[in-house]
Amino acid sequence: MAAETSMPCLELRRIGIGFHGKPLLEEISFTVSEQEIVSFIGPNGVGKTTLFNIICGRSNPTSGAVIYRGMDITGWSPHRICHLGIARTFQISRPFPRMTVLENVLMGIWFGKEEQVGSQAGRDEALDLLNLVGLRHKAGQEGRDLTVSELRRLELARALATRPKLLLLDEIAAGLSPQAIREAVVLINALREQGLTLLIIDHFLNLTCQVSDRLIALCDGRLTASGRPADVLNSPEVIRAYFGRSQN
Amino acid sequence: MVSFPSRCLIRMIIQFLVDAISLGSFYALIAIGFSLILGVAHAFNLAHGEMILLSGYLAYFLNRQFSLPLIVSIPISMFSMLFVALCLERLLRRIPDPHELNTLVITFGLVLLLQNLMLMAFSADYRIIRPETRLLDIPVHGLFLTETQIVILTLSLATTGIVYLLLKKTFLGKALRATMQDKETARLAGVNVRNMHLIAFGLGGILIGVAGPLYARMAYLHPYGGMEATLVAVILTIFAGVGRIRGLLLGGWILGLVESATTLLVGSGWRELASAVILILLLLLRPDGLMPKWAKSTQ
Amino acid sequence: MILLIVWPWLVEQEGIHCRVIGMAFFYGCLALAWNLFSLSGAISLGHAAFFGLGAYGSALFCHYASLSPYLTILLGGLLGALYGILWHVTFRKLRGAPFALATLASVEIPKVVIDNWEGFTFGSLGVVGIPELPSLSLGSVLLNFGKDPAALYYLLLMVLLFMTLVHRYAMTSRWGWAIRAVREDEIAAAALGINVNKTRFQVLCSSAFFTGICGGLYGHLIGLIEPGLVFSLHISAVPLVLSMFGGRLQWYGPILGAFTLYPVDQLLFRSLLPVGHSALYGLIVILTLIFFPQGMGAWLQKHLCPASN
Repeated sequence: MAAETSMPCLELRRIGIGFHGKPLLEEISFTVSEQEIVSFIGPNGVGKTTLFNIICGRSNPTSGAVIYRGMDITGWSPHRICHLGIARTFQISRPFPRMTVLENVLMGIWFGKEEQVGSQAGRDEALDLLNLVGLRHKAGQEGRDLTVSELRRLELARALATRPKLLLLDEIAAGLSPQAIREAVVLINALREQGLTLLIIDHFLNLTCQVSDRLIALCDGRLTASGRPADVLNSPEVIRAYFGRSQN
Repeated sequence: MVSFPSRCLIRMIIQFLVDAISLGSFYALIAIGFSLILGVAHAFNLAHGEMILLSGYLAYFLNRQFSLPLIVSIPISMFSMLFVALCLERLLRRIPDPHELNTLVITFGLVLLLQNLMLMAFSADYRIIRPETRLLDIPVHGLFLTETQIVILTLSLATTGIVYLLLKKTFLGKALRATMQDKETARLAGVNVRNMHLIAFGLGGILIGVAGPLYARMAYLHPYGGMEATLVAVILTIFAGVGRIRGLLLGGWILGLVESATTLLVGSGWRELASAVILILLLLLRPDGLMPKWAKSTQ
Repeated sequence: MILLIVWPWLVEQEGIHCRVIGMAFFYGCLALAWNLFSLSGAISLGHAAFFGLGAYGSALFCHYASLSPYLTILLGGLLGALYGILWHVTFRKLRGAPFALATLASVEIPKVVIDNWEGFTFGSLGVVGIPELPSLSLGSVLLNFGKDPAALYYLLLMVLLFMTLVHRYAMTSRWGWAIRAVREDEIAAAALGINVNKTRFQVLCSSAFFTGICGGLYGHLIGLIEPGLVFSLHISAVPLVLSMFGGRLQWYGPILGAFTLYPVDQLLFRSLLPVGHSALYGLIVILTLIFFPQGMGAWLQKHLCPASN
């Protein structure tokens, strides 16, 4: 697990953002090395998803910079960032409701990976991805007919279809059964084997601790702790954030 | 001593203000119904203006055939429009998602339907209810206030006041406002949201029934003239936010002033341009005016 | 298809049918142009703005610069596209109902300007005596579009075929898939590498361009235009009604709508109700949204060939 000393995969420099005049995130800085798995924890509404939105170009930070492999991508539009090799899933799943599951994945291959529309290779690849997430048998169903757990898997397949090097998973385990979560752990480890760098938001600490190299804790709009999962979970700031201020 | 020309100017300005305020109060009356329906039932009634015209034609017809005065024809048109609005509510209840956009399209169809029906029934001639007396003696010397203006000003302000009191002071008003602000929470608090829809449409219909005869009294009726009234209602609703009666009145006065000033300065042909530009600017600057909380939560 | 080609020979005598079907082609084009934009998920209630600008652009270029109508119609289309760019820039942030309202209001701007700029546009009197489409000679055949209804019929058929190809391309090509993704979920589309802004821009501009062309063509077919006519609510509404009725998501939907509704309106309703026969369109859109929200095309497809679904 020797982190490469050369160039980090992703670097955030003093990111700040606010809505309606109220600051949400302030002075967020961290780096992520290649092939590292980093999880973000923190109370609801602390701005974890907003942080993902900033990395993916959906929201523009009011200050600071996002550096991906040495390139300043702050304020780039989402589709350009996708073409750089950053993909994500959404906290609230956003399938294309009237496309079939297969077509959903094909969109990622055709436009994210820029494969030719209608090619057989692209189709095979999409079916392989559906196999990987276990949705092969649902390939012909429309996106709006899937269950929550199936939607999450579809989103993962669609994100992988863009051939990302950095993958952002937002609440991948929420609403999943224990069995499905075990499968998710296996899947995430398989992705690491393939050389992906992963950022994960999840409230399911069992999952995050199992797979992550590092935890980053956010509280009151600031980065309060960062380090090995066990250390972060035992740090006083995190305990205070989760269990209230009265306890020490 | 004030010299003669400047006294004349002051009188002209006062006259201008009185005209604009009377027009603006009427605008507020037009907008309240639209705003209530949009706020409570989340339905864009593009046919709002056409319904006003319809009740205007009704009053015109009653006036011509049976020479009924306004005081009789207004209640009749109120009841008929109440009925029409409730029918509309039934119609809109059935439409598929996305709800707001589809209400817009369906009432757009209703606009076409009503326009052509009115064209069939009343032809494309311009019609107006002629006031019995032209001018009224009023204490302020030299100021012209027509009887029509007084009727419109009183009725508009009275109706606006009644709706305001209804919303602010009664239990029903509280339920209506709760539904406007957050449907789900209102439902959890025990408000029958479906009934609130009916009530909003009913109230909207009654307000249209008041506005129609006044419109026929104030301006010429023409089957294609309804869109202008709808645009006024949309503009004021965006300006004030849904269900804000005082804001609607203020907006009505401002719009009345702007339109009167445009007419005075560059001619009446440009008046429609002014309202279209105002509408687009408001849409761009206040996107939340039309789409309060409920739209944000779906994003 | 073959029936459409030989049709004028079968009913040579009855010019009225030829003319009505020809105009059905015309409204089919208009509906296809409108639907091109609606494929991206936005509903426009203001396409009369492009139509009117196209009509005025073409008529006035013809009048002042004495250019060939074929050239001025293209210029009219460009004028429409220019206004489309303006829409795109100004209404960039608006979606759904607010966008539709903005488009509705934006028709008033060119209308009022043309209405009042009497020295240049002849104001509310309109432009009269717009020249007919000049004759073309194809080999030995002289096509006189002004006098011969059959020639006009074929011209409109050709335009319709071309528009159908464009519309089909906007549904089945790579571009078409991008449009579809934007329609179904803009944010997800952007995250998958689709340039949402560019796609919307392309769709709006081409839709505005072709609507402008239809407007220009209209002026030369009818011979006179006035602001109240070409910027009317009716012009904005008809393509919407035809597309919604025929099915917005089928490549043939708008044509289906035009071929069924327009002849019914002209041949049946018009003879019954000389005034206000357009009430039909209003009624149809209400009924369509309540009973077949996906349009006739989707309904037919579901019931005639359930296997393909």
